[in-house]
Amino acid sequence: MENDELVQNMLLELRRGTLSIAVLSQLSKEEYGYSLLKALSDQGLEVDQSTLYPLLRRLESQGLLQSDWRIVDEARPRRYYVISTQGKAVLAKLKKEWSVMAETMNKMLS
Amino acid sequence: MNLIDKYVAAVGRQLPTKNRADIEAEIRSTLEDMLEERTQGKGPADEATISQLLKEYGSPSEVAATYKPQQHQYLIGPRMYPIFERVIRIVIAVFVAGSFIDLGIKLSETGLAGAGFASVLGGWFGSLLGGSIAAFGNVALVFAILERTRVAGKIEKEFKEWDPKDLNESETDPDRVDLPDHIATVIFTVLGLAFLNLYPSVLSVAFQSNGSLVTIPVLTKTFFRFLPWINVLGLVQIGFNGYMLSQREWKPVTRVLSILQDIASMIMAVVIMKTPGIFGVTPESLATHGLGEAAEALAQVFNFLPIIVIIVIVVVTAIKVWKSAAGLFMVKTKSPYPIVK
Repeated sequence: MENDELVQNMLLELRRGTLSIAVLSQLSKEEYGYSLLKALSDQGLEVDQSTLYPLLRRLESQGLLQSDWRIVDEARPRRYYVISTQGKAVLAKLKKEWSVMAETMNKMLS
Repeated sequence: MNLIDKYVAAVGRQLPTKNRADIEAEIRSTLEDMLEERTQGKGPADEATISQLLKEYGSPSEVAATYKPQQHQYLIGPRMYPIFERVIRIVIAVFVAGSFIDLGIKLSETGLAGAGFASVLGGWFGSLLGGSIAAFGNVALVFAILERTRVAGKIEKEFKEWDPKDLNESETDPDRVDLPDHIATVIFTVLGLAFLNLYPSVLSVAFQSNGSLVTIPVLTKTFFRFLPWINVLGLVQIGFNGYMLSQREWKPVTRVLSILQDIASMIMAVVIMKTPGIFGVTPESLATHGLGEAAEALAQVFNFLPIIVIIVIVVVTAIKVWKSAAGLFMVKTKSPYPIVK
């Protein structure tokens, strides 16, 4: 029981660390919050909306994302997010780091 | 106003005004998307479905908290907390020491028994508790303000720019007993008790008057009425310091005993000093020997002596109590391996 909780907490930290990269990687095309949530989930990354929405705002305030309110296909107004030029540059660097890190970890854990 | 409106408004109330409308709109839009998926376009959702959705989304406070900037999630942040902790210890220690001084002075007026004693003790305890809480609150308030000013940023910068060269030599073990200090205490206590019990007349003022040597004892019979109490406390002190010399290490119990002993000594000293007629050197006693203005000046010194002694004793006790209390609350961890120097 105690171990389960420990594992859950560690997984939470792991996910938190990787979430920014995951979000940036999925926003090469425009998505609104809920559609992004579904896209991440479809690829196996379950994210809580209470984590995702503040993260989107933070990434936008850091200049890595752009957003605007729009009505698409006569639906309700939604806020659409897309990666910015700065975001693309940052993502490229993060991808490199991630590859190195993943390789190192795989070596350590194999 | 439907449930979603109420929910969005409840979240909005807890958000900073700057982004409120925007965040509210986004939450509403998300909730409606989620709801649409649940009903799969089969008309408007019923209240039970909406209610279930909102429960899953989280309480308004929880949701609002995720949108707040991290640095305002706490009253005193991690960069200021260590300093806050240090300051609060000092402030509380000084306040408690001050309270004991106040208690000592009050008890010197009422004595150590009777209704007056009980009422002074009760009142003192109340003000100690209330005052400690108020002191804590005030320090926390000051730090909460500092947390939101440039001071916190400056401290953070200092943390980042620290230099290993600034490190002090490792401090001595706070629990180690200071041998010279305890030896001196034992010696002076033995000497003091010996003089008071065996040679009380040594403590006297001597001067020439009309060609003959006159001696007036400094301490009167009134003072010596307290001698049994002084002896008890003195012997306790000798025993305690002797024990500490054999132990070589402070433990929580011995620190508490030391504090109690210091406070008891202080209270007794204040009670004695506040008792009228303990000094034999007075204008009256000097007048009987036909002494003039010089004697008046000497008598004046003895008039002020009690208050000076009280101040000195209280300050010394406060310092000793503070040191013991600091040692008591200091967290000490032992190295798992022997340190080779």
